[in-house]
Amino acid sequence: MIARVPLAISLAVFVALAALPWLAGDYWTGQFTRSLLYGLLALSLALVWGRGGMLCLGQGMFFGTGGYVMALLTMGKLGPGLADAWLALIVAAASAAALAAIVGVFVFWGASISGPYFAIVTLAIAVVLEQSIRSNYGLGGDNGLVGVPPLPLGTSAFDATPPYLLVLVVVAAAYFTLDATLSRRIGLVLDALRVNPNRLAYLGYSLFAWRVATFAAGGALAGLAGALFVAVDGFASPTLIGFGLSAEALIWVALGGRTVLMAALLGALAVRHGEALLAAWLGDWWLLALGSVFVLVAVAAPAGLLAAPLLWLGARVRR
Amino acid sequence: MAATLLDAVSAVLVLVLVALGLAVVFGMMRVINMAHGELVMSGAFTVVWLQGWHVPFWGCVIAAAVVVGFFGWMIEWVLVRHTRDRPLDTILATWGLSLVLKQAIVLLFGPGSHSVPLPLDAMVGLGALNYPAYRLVVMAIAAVVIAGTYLFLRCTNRGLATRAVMARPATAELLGFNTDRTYSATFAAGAALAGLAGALVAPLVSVDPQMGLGYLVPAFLAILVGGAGALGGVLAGGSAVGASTSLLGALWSPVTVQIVVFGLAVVVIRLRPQGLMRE
Amino acid sequence: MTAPALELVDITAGYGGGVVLNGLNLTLAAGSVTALLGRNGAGKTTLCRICAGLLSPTRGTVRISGTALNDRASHTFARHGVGLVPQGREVFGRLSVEENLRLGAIGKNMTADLVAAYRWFPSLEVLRNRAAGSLSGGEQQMLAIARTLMGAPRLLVLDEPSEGLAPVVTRVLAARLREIAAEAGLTVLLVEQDLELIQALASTCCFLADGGIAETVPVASIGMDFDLVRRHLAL
Repeated sequence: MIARVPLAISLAVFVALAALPWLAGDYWTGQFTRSLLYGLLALSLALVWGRGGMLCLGQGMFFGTGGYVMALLTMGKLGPGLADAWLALIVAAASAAALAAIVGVFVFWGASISGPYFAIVTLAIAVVLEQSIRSNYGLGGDNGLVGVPPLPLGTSAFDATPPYLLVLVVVAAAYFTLDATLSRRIGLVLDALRVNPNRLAYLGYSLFAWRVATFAAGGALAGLAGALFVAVDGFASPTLIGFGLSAEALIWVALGGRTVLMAALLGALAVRHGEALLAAWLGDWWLLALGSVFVLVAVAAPAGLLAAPLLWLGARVRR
Repeated sequence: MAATLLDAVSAVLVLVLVALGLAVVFGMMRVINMAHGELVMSGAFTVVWLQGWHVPFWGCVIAAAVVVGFFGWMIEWVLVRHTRDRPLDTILATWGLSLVLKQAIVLLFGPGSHSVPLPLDAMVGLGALNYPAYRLVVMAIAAVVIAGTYLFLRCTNRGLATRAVMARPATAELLGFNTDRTYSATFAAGAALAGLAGALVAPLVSVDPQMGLGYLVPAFLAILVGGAGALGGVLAGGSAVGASTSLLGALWSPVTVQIVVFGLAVVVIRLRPQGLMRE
Repeated sequence: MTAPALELVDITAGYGGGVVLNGLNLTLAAGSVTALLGRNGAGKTTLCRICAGLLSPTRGTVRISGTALNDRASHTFARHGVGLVPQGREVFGRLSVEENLRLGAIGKNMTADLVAAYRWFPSLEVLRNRAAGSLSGGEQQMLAIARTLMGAPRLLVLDEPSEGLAPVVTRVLAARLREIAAEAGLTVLLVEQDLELIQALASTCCFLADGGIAETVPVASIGMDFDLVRRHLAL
């Protein structure tokens, strides 16, 4: 079973994040709202790929689906009666989960498409989805849907703190729920699913059901993240759904540590803010450097860069 | 009508040429090279770069194959070799490499697109039809390269050795074959084919840093649809994907065609996981 | 005096954490035919893999005709004259019989002498264009041996050649191997369970137990000494 980052450390991380609006000001609070949502996307990929062993090259499609559903609903494009933001969040996450379930059923049913084939097929689906959204004028085409109303928190739209805290609560809830779930029997089954699926099948587990369920759960998380992101950002664009964001999410999770949830989450935060800090200094070289580090990690440190320090710290705290 | 058919044949041959390098590497080494599209792009940019130095076009084409082949040799040595027993990490590493190559090209040539002048401006009369001579030349070269690859694998000792290493690497080692060297040669050859394809299509398309993905996905779908391993599979898959894209393009918008073809390809892969040419 | 065809000095080897061979010593004089016996799990196949460079020992020295080849790739062992016929034959099933044979020579940059191969194994000539995967077990075993011989090895290592073969076929195989070994002056290491095959081919017999060579006896003596066989093989 994979070592777990102890509760004390994860609590400390979230408490530190909660103090951010009072320390860093509105600009950074707004930035962290977005990167926390990217972190939630990273968590979903860590669940699907790191723990479930399904390398999804198109995880962005669920983020984007959640975002577009959220935008369509809250902008009242599907009828004014459905414009309630909280209902829309749930519907958006559910739609992304449904898309993931459909893709999962299609891919894993019968003689399952697995490993490398799965990666290629998810990439192809993401590319197709991005193309079809870009060419759909009802969805705003290349421009996306502009003017998504902010979350109705009863505060000024210019105050970045309330949405930040809401997002933080959602991400923390998702994190602790996932962490608790994965430390039980379910986590063990997922490890078996990744490492030795045939053995798991002999024991009477349905690989199909487990894979689809895991994939759908990952889709729901990514969809929720996308829906909140669109509400925070004010618009839904096709870049959320396709190749670009999927690739980025993969980088966060790989650099952080694919099997350790906290490492994946921090990986997203680190890369996003590292980009903000270093891009000014490195300019266009930033992407080159990031890509090179990613390649190095994939070859030489597949466990990621943050997982080992976190677990080491965890072992010290526990003693 | 004849022009449409000829366009379809041209699309098939170009797609098979692009997919060939990928298929050789995937079939032989079970390695999924996500940077293949960027290798095609590198071939095209080699032409752009050398044309700036007034190197004649056909010299550029040969140089592109050599330069990108050398890239491939290095990639195998630095990345692929170390992740051989971790196929998913090979995907990650080569994918990361594709980002690096893309960004390196952006830094060297800027993010915009470039165009390469047609080396042959003439039209060739084929009965009632006038067809661009350069397209015909590209089709001929593609056909020759595809046939040459097939003949190499079927009819030469080196090709036989390559197939043996592919089937049973440990046994091949026992018989004295240096499998590491076979792998690096194979990867370099696959890359050289990508570079060649990129150089040949450069005058026909807009050459920009983002062009790689547009080649990677169809090429992979062609391989998966056709069935990996056998060259016949690449031909079948490339024909299915290339011809349907080209023929449907006469009816629908490019985006619709891409959606329909990708969707169909995914369905075919789902229904026949071993590919159309299952043995 | 020529160097021994194979010298294993103080070999320790295993997989993961488990030790299979522990301080093993074995020397095969050039031109000798030696049988290796041992229980299941005693490390016979591990020993074969070490002889052919498929596995590197964690300690000790492997010398082939006087040259130390520790940690070198398997093809280097082949180039130095080791020919391992692996357990399970491992023919290239999709390739034809003749292509399989040619590979044995190509691997060592030699010209394929198919005439000799067909003289040793006439049945293969009839099957020359068949896919190797469609052959019977005995035919595949002949092919695997012939394929290795195409590379003109000096040390032939046979891992369980009689496994899964009918007794009649084993007898034919024994006769062929005896002729070939004598004609080519081969050093042979024969890992076998079949006493009949051992008696037909080998002159010396080594028993592998507890990670080392427990006893070395002339083959002529084991026919009578049931106690010896029982002790080492737990028959």
